Amino acid sequence: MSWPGMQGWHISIYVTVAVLVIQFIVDQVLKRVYTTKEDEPLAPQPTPQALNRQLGGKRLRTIILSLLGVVAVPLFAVSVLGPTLADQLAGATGTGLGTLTLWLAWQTHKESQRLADYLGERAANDRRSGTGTPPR
Amino acid sequence: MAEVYSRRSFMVGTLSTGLLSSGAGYLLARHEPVQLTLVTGGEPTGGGRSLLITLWNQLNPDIHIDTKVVPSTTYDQYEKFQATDADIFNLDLIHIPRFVAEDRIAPITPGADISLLAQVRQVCEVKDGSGRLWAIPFNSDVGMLFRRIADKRVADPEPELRDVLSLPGFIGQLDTVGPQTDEAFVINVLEHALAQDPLILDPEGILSTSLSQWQNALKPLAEAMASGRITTNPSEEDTIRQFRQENLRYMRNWPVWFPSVDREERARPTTAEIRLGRLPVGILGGQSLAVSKDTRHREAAEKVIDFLTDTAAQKLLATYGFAPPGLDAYIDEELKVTAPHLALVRTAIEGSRPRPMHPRYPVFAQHFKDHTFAYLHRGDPLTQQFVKDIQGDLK
Repeated sequence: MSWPGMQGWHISIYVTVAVLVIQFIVDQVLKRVYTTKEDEPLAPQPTPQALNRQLGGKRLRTIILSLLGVVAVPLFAVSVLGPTLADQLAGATGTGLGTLTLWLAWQTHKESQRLADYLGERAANDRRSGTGTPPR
Repeated sequence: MAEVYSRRSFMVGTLSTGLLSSGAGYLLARHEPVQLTLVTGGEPTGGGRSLLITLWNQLNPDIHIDTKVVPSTTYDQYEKFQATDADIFNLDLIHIPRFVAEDRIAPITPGADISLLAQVRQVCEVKDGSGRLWAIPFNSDVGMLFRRIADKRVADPEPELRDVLSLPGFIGQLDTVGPQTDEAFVINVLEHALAQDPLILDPEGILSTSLSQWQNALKPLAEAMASGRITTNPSEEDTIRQFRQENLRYMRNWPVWFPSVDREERARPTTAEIRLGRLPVGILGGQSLAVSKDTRHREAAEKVIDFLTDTAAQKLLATYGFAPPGLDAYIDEELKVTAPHLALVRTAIEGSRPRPMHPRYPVFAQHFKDHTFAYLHRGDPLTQQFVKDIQGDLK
C-alpha cells in the first residue's frame, strides 16, 4: 500500500528521526546497564595540542550546524504549506529536526567557548607558574 | 578520544546526513502537484465521465483535474471554451477544425491500445501521416432510430428512415427555436437527405453542390412535414419527453439516450420494449479531448487524456450509454451481454458520415439552417442561393 503524496525527500526525514529515536533508546538502556557496574576508568587527560584540535573541530561543527539549521528550518517550514498530508507531516518533522540542529549548534558554540576559556586560563596559569613554553 | 564517539557527535552526524539528503531531495526532486482545468459540456447520462475524473483524482493526487462544465449547447460551449485558459478541452467534433485553425490545440499521439474505428479516427487525425490526432475521442455518437414495441409477439420489421416519413408517429429534431437548437436541426435534415441520397454528403464530409440533388433529397421530408404526419421538436431531451407523452412510435435520437429511454418506457403498460435501429447513413457525433497549446502541463494533460480514453475507460462509459470510439469495447464479451445494442451502434458508426470538417462550419450551419428551415417550415423554394451560400462558406 502506498501513502498518497509520499515523496522521496520525506523518507530521508523519517529515517533520520528513526535513527535518532533508536539511538536515544539504546543510550538510555546502556546508561542503566553501566550505572549498575563499576565506574569506568577515567579517560587520560588530553594534551594541550589535542584540546586545541578539539576546539578547532568544535568551531567548524558550530559553523556547519548553524548553516544547516538556518537552511533547513525555513525550507521545511514552507513545505508544511504543501497540499498533501504527507507534505505537512514531513515538513513539520523536518522543521523540528532543523530546530534541533540549531540547538546543537548553540550547545556546541557554548562548549567551544568554555573550552577556549579553559585553554586561555590554562595558558595563563602555565605562564604564571613558569612551566609554559619558554620565550625564544 | 571519548569526544569523537560522544552521543552529540552521533546526533550531529545523523542530523547532517538526514537533513542534507532530504533537503537536496526536496530542492532537486520535489514535484509540485499539478492542477489541470478540463472544460466540457454537460453530461447527459448523469455520471460516466465525472466518475472517470473522480477516479483519476483519487488515484493521482499529484495531478488534479478541475472540471469546468458548460451545461449548454455546442455553440455556447465553443464561446465559453474560447474564454477559458483550460489545459484540456472536451471538444465537439465540429469544433476541432476551428481550434486547429486558431492554433489553440496541439496534436497528441494516441495510446497504443485504443484501436479507434476508422470513421472516428478520420475526423480527429492530423493529416501529415504521423498518426497523431488533434484530439483523442472521449465518446462517439451517431444518429439512430428508436422504435416502440407494444407487443413482442407481433412481427416488426425494422423500417428505414425514409419509410417512417410515410408512417404515423415519427418524431425528430426537425424544428429550431434559435442558435441553441440549430445544430440538432441541421444534423436531422442532413440525415433525412442522406436517407434519400447517400451521395449528398461523402465519407470525407464533403457536401454535394447540386441544387437538384438537394431538392430531390429534401422533397419527401418537406411533404411529410407539410402533411403533418411527423412531429417535430427542437431539442433532443424534449423529443424524448414528447415521444413518451404522446406514445409515439418512432424517434430519431442519439444512442446515448437509449438505456434510459428503454428502461423508462418498459415500465409503461403500453410498451414492451424500445428497439434501436440504424439510419441508412447517420451523422457522426461525439466529443474528443484535446490539449491546449498554451498549457504549462502538457505531459500531465496527455497522461490524463490517456487514462480517460483508454479501453477500460471506454468500457466504463459504454455502461452509461456512451458509444465507444474504439473497437475493443465493441468486442468485449461482458459488454456484449450487458449492452447488446452496441453491436448496432458500431455498424451505425461504421456507416456514418461526418459533418463538413471546416473551421467555418458554424457559418455554414447557420446558412444551411436558414435555407432548409424556410423550405421545410414555410414552403419557400430551395434556390441556387442555398448552394452558393454553402459553397462559399466551405471554400
